[in-house]
Amino acid sequence: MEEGYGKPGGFASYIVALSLILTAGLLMVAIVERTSIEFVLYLSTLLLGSVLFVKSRNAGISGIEIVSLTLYIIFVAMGNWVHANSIFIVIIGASLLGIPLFNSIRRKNAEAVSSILLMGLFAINNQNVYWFESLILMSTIVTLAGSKRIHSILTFIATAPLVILSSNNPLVMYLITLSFILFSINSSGTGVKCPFRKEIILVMGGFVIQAGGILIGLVVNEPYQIFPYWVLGYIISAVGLTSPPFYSIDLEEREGGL
Amino acid sequence: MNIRATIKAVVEMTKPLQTFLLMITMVGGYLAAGGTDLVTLLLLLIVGYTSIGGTTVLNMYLERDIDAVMNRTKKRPLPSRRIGESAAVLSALILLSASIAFAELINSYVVLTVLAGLYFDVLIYTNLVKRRTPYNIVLGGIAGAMPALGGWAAAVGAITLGGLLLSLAVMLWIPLHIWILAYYLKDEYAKAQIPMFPVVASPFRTATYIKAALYILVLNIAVFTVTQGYGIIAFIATSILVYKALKLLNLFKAKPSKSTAFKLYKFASPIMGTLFILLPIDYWLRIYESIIFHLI
Repeated sequence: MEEGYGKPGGFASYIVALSLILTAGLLMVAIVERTSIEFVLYLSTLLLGSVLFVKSRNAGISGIEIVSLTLYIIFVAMGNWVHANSIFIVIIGASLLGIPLFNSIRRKNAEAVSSILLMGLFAINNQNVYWFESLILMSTIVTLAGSKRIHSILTFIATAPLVILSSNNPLVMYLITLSFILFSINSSGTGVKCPFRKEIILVMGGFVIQAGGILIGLVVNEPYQIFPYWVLGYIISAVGLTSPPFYSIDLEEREGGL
Repeated sequence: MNIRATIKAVVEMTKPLQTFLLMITMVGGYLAAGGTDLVTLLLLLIVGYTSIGGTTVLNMYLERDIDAVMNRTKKRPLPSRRIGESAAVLSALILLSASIAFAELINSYVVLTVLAGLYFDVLIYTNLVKRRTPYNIVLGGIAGAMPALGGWAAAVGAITLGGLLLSLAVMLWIPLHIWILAYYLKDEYAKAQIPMFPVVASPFRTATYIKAALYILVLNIAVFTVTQGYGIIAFIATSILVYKALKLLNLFKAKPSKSTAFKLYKFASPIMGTLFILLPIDYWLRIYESIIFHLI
């Protein structure tokens, strides 16, 4: 087994791998069921919730995450998708943005700070999701720069519902994909521990297809046409990420995270 | 390595014979749903070859460790080093991207079936369940059913009951096709540590499960005939072939042997071929029948 890639199996590993696989499945549904995008988002969130649950078992969960999830469920129950989606992004942001950005201070404080920041921005911008997209984009890059494999995979999962949210904004999708590609190229060439090292050719191939599709979308000015390519790229990258023994995420390597 | 040798290796990795059989289900699904447009049919053929071929190449890349161990597969291009790993992956990605481009020219439902085929074959079957459970082909079988559903969706422009029943027919046929082959090669699967059902279960149990699937297959075609209003010729012909397969399975249950398993394996493809060739004929006979009826 390749050094640093953990032991096969383990409850948490399977949950994360299943979340990745199920999110890819849900994305396919969105290709033909555009009216059910909220439903897809809702299920994607549940999957991410399961990842957070695993995290809570292994590294603890912050109070703000519990509050966010509760708020999310309330908004979903009320049928208020705009608020629910924004809260959903707060949940992702709390988990992903906080950890690498504030790695030097206590993890739970970091998550609390980042989620309060996000919630504040949410309140200021009142339902404008594009601000949150930019934030998540930033968190994607920062998280990847953190070189924690689990963070990267979580971010990768999180990009799926994010892209659905921004399906009328190909530039955001392009930037997200580009950040993955740049990080992968950079880290594979410089000896930085790359989270996608095992089957990097597949993971990278998936990103390239995503970027190619997005470029086509930009050229033809038909954002939704790019979506099938984006999903194809997502599935290809997910294949790379779940290739044995890559899906076996070593939970011992969870400093500051899962 | 020259380009011609690489292309030859890639073509070999697409398993042309298996791809051809799956394309029969795709074209059969299209014609059985009343598809008549030649351009769509041509596009569907391209989508069929590129999607099934691309998925197969990707699968071979992911299973290169198993292929290197098994006698049946160790001469494949990757284990025999006739093609590099990067070239194999690149070819798969080109084929799959092309399949999406052509599928988009038909409709979103065909795109969905292409992605679902890749998803269930590679992510679910190869990466998730193949090395873990003897029931791996139950989920993997969904991938095999996608070409038929894609063909149907290309003609109808939606995923409807008829297409789903055709897909189910393919899924119910897969245990006969795969498990009998796995029994024939069970020593090799055991060597590669792949827990195919016949490797871990007795031949009696394997044959019992296959028989159950075949009974449901016949019932499924009957439901198709009743709900869609055509398919009686395909139903009768397929039932006769299934009856013969059941007799062979009884023989296999009483006295398991590799020679009986091989006979059964050779019997499997004609069952599917017959169903997907006769269903379109049934459809068009019904159309002509109604035209003649109106003329009279």
